[in-house]
Amino acid sequence: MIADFGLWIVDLHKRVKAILFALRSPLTALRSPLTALCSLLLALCSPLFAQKILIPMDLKQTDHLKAYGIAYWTLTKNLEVDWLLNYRAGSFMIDGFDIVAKECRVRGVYFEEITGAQAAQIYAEVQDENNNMDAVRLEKAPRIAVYVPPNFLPWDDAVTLAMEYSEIPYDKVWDDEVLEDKLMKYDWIHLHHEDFTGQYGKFYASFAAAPWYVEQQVMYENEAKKLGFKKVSEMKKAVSRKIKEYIATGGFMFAMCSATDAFDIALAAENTDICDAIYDGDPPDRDAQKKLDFSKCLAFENFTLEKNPLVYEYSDIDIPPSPIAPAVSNPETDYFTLFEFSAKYDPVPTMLTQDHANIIKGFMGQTTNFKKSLIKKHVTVLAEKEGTEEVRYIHGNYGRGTFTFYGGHDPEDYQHAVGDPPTDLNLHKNSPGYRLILNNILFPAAKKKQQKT
Amino acid sequence: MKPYLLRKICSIVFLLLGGFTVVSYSQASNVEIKIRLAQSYERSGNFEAAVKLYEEAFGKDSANVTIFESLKRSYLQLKRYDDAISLIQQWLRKIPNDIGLLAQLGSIYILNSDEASAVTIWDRAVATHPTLEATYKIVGGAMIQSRLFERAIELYKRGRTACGNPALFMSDIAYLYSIMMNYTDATREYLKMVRQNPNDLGLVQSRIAGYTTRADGISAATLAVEDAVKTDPNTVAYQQLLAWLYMEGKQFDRAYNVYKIIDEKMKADGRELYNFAERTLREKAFTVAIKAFKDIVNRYPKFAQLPQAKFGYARALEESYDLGDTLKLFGILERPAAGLKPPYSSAIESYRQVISEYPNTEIAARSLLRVSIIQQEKYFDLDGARSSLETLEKNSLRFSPILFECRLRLGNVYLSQGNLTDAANKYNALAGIGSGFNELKEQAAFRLAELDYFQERFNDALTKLQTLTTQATANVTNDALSLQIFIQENLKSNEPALRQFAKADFLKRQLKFSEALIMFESILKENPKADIADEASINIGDILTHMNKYSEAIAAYERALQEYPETIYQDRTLMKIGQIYQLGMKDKVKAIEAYQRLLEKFQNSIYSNEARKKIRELRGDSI
Repeated sequence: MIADFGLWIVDLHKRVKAILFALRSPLTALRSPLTALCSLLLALCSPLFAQKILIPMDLKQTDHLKAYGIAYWTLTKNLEVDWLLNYRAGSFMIDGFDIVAKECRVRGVYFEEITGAQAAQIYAEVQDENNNMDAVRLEKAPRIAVYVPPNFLPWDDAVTLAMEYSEIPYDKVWDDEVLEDKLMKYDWIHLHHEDFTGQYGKFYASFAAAPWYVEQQVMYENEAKKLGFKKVSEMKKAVSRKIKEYIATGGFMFAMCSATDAFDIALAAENTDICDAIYDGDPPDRDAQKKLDFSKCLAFENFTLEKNPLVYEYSDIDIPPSPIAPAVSNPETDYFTLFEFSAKYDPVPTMLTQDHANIIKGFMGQTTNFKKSLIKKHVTVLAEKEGTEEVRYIHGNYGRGTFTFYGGHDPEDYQHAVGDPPTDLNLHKNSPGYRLILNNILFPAAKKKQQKT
Repeated sequence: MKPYLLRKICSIVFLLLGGFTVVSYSQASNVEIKIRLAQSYERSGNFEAAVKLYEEAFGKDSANVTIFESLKRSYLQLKRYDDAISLIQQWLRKIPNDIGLLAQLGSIYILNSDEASAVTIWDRAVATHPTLEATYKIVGGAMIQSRLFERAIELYKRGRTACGNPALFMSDIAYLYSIMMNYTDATREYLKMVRQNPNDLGLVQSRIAGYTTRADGISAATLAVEDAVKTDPNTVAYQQLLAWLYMEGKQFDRAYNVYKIIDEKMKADGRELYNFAERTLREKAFTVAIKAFKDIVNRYPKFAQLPQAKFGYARALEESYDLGDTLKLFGILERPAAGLKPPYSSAIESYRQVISEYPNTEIAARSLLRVSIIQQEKYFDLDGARSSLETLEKNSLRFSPILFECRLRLGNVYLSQGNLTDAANKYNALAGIGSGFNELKEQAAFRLAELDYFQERFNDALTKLQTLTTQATANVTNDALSLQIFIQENLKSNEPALRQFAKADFLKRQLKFSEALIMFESILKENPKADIADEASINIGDILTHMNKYSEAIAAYERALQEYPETIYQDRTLMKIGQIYQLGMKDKVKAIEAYQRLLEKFQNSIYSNEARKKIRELRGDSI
């Protein structure tokens, strides 16, 4: 008790100092050169100047993934975090509270305790117009939902793994919550290996008799019946539309693997039936392809459906197609490249591409890469396989919100098969591929700044 | 009749017949062409064109089953369910009792969102042959295809009554219940299967295993089987199923009671119980394993594997005590307090019983080896351990693995007793053993290097250690490296102190803690600035810990930290302080502080991960 009280006093003391620091923060002060000068002088002269904690995200970082967890944890303590875009691979700057330092140590996150003067120098460097850097203030821990079925499925979800590992809390939501408008409680939703087309992942050819597949189909059918839908595909389309509405009203959606193309296909197929009899009991609409309405999609257009119900692929959005991918890809040579954006003019794509490597190891999924020619023009390409049609990572706006699609299943398991054990992220603490996922989680915490013109 | 008239009539008949045949042939050929063309359209996915042609063909030949099937299929492809229904109804006028077609008609009504008509048609199908098993199979299949599982279950149950066979459709009903996640009723059906044919037990277990991985699945199945056992305790297959479910759910106590019953009912004379006991021992459910082994020994004196059961009993006793030894600091147990009954005595008694009852057998040799291990590692009774191992060495020549382990342990006992010559002999005896015993050989080689070190023959020790440290995969390599570096570091800079240290270390190995303590303190006093002083200081802390003097041990470690801030052992020492607070003094706050200090000073220490884990455990974090 006494020890706790002591810590509280120390923290209170530092908090007061931090407030004083904030009042004369170079970041705020730079807007007025006179104040900035005073601020800098104060920073250099004052021996009592508050310390800062810098969490570098370059190769010095011992655990990149948990570093995001620390940033999130700090926000939950009502402390602010500055995300220094492109400064040492997207570092975090936090006021020098002892509890933050201790938590970094306990979680194995490398940090540097720097003086106020050093911090001021860093901010000045970041704000310098000649440097492609910027500081984004993170203010509030985003409320996170993961769209996940209540039953067990024999594959893991990279985002859930990343959040579990980095200790970022999240809620699970499913169709009934989405249809009851409960998504509005959350700032961010993640979709993973979910099939919004109602074809149960098109696993029929390989897993029709597997207990998990049979159970999944019955569970989805019961859910559809319960929610008043004749077919699972109809329910999933309604769910897709609700998620789209959620984005339109300001939500952030992040999808990986097959949730990406399946989501857009479900939106396009609003007025037609694309499911074969083995999925919903009746044959598909023969004119399904013609009846697709691409204007309803978020990211893709002009794609062609894969009509064969026994082929493990939804459309030609994915390249190379799923059953062929393992044969044509070589993990040794499969890499994709992150684009560089202007931190001061394009802060959002910059946030999403913060990484300590800009060439990232490829990894397969039911949907691995998006065909460039089928991506809508307003969508920003964040990463691609250079010299090919293969786009890996895209981002776009819809209404007041945004969506990000990331192809592939598990950044640290090249070919994650059904039934494979989940990846142990203790062995991949510095995974550049996983970092991209976590960029997305923190991005909704950013305070919106006025766009520079 | 005149011949010419007859010829005329014949000519007319011939002409008439020929003309009729030509017309018929022409019509048939026309239908066939239409069918072929329709099939071609169908294959290309142009169902509209195919339907048109099939309809025309069907209009010409409404009895042709191929045209009927093709037209029906095309209607379904185009989702023209009303047309498909009319077509089938038209066909049914000709064959009103075609069960397959009636069943299919029901499914099409479901596709057409008309469940009431589907049910009526299915009822009609059943009414055609109400006492035939196949009727229910066909109609039930149509219901399952339409995803109406509950209706299918109802129908199968009706079928049982109507056919007068309560054993019908058990597997189908159970499967349907299980995919509907109604695990209780699924299990009840599976129980019926087992009761009907106990040989199906394996099949039923594999089916039930499909849902025992789910918490609700295993609890529903267990409750259902418990109910069945209460109602019918004499069905052994029920008992076996229940025991299996208890084992799956790790409810070993309950499983034990059931296995006792199974053993009796099957007149297995202990075999079932023994298999159970072995499994619980592997599962580390020692209390139950002890009971089960004891039961076998008491109740089945003629059991063929009685020696193994007695050994298993002793082993379970020994391991259960091991589990209770929670105060293990740095891998060494404290000595048992004087006056208390040594906890391993029952295990020793049991091993001795095996030795006396089955002399000159492998199980007796194994038992004596266990006794010597308890004497050496748990009681620090070196004389007792030596005596046991010497006896064992004489009597176990036929059992190589036991003999080799016995020799290594005997060497260790001699070493601890200060009998270095005999220790060296034992270790040397292991040098030539086969490659299947590499680990024992490497341990013996390391001990020989240690013997040189304890006898202050440092160069000889270094030569031996050099060989060992080249074997990167051996378990002893780390220990060898550590000793090698320690000797190398201090040999040149302060050989007298190293000699004194080796003596003190040897006393420590002999568990002569008080003498060792004095000697380490003397090293520290005489060489306060020497490189070796930090190690001496930490050893003092270690010895005090072994003597349960925790506060003094912490003081010694803190002194080492303060006086030797450059020592490479700082992180290890902080870890030890944390462990004493946590395990010895049970002071959570101080333990966390110590681990925090370690993390603060040595972020990249090899102990960091362990310290982090401990802090999180002590904080009660969910991770």
